[in-house]
Amino acid sequence: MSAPLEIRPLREGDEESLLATFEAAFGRGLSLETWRWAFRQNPAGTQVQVALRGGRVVAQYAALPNRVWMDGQERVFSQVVDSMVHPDERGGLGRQGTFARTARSFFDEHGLGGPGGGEVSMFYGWPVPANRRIGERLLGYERCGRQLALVRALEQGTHDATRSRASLADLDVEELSSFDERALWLWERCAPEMGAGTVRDGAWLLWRYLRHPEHTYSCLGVCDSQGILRGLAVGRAVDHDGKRVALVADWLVPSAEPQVGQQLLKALALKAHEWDCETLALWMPPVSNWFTWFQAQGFALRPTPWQRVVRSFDRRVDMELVQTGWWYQLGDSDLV
Amino acid sequence: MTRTPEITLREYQPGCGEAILAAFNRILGQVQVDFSPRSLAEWRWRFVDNPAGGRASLALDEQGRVLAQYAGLGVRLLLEGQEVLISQSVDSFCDPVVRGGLARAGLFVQVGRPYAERHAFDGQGEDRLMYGLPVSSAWRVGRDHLQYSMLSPLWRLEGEAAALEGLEVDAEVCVQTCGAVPEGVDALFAGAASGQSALVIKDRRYLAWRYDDRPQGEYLWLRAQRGQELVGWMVLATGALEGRQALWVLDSLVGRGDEVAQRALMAGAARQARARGLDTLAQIGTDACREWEGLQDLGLRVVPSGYSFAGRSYMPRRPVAWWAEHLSLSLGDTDLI
Repeated sequence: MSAPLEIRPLREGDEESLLATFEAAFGRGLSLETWRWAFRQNPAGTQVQVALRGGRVVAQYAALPNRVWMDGQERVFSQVVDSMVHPDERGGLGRQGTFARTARSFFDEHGLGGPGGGEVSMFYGWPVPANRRIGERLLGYERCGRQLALVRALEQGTHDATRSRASLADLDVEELSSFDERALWLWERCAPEMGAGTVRDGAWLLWRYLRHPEHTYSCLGVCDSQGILRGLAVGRAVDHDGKRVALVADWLVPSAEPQVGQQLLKALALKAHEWDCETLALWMPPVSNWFTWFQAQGFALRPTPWQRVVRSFDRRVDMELVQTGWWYQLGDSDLV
Repeated sequence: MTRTPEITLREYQPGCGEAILAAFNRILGQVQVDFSPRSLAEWRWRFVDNPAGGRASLALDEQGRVLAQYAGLGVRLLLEGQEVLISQSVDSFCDPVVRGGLARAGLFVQVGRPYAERHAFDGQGEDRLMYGLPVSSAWRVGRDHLQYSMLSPLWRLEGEAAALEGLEVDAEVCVQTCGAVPEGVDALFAGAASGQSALVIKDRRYLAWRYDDRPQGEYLWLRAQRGQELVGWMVLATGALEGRQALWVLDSLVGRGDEVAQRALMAGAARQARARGLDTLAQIGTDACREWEGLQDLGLRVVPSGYSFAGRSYMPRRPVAWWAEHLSLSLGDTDLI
């Protein structure tokens, strides 16, 4: 007879067993450094529930929390990531199986109004189809539609800086190597047009982009003569379906300053050229003024393979808000 | 003390159209600011004349007055080459006097549940899918009690008529207006449908009902021909949606991959817009919109609308996510215009 299942929040010392199960579940490894970055160093905290059998982690349900500003109050939205069950436990993928029990325990622990005193208003993610189906069937996931991306082939752009061989300095754009309170000032100027959005302060930007242990991001900033940050764009090159794509992970520019947007877009095109990318792509919420602006710059809306799902624990965070009032970027996901 | 009325739940039966219509006009007149009463001719066109049928579950009081309705319009669909039915939920209402007055679930839910049971493919009926554009309160109730989920946001694609009128078009394709469904639509649909997973059937039978037979409907047909052969058609209407005055493309079809015909039709539609003093040519689409990329390449821009399609799949092996990826819905597949 197998040992009983223990489901509880992650504790120090679980890491080694958890990472071994990660490799068994996903068929690839996750370094301890990257795991620590994601789950221990996130400035918004740690949200990991594990299931153990005989002292070994056999399942995990986990999320990366973000502090979100909405209606003049701080809330928490968390992205569900890396949820898994050891192949030995996969016979139990039903309602009473190890995975579902771990997930329900997680939601009890972290969901707003739950018995664990959690404060997460909404969980969200872009799960692979199999996980999405399980989530819809067993865990209350709600589909919100296909994720769309704004995409532009670089050679089609009429404003590509690459054509004139401009440099970042020519564009008055600098590559940032740190973030301070000026990032929060910029976010505060953008926030009124965002609805609900992750607080992009220095701590979050540092953690998300500059301290990422595996990926290198270009954080491009436009500063005025007093050194005040007027706009920020974060990019990274990825290989996708045999093509090299420059992904814009973050775009933080007040919509009243389209000239700053132009500078940053030219800078991104320049970087994309350096990275040998064929296309530039980003996510932009449709309600943002930038959604239309990017289309006017030659970007077209294209479907992606991902479906966005949410589970709300806060009646103020309903489907209407999710569809029309939630400002998120690729950087709010773990897809870049 | 107010007595809770004795309520009877039953399906629509021939002959109760006038009672439904009276309730519809009475109740929506109370809750919608700009409501125009519906005529019996319009009601009959929707629910009786529809070639795929209308259906409704009703709640009535002791006097036989309709207090609530959950209703839908049948829609013929080609699903993997086989003709099946889906339905568009429309015109559901609930008298505010009794809304929520029942102990366990509101009257809207009480009529919605037997509707699903009666018409769902996994129940006693034939509908493989229900879709609709619920207002936010109906969406919440539908999600919590009637298994609605999000099918797709409804996108608006719009372009400047002046720019679209100037599209370069191939002289071999001739676009003209016509007064009714053009000849050759069935052959064109058969060709366009080949290989499609799910496609609303746009044949003569449907098109004549949807556009030509609608009482007080004012639609404009465009046909595109290559020589004598019909290679595309488009249905247009002037109107305002979400405050946006435009010439709206309700429906269109060209042969698969026939970008020349699509371009010619868009240019022709833009000419019609300009002739009517309208600056904007617009249409709506779901995420699965077949012409999504082509229309953007022609210069249309994607704008979010305030609407989202809700759906409920009655086929366990085809969840709403599958329909969202495979079913393209147009403005003509709604009752917005």
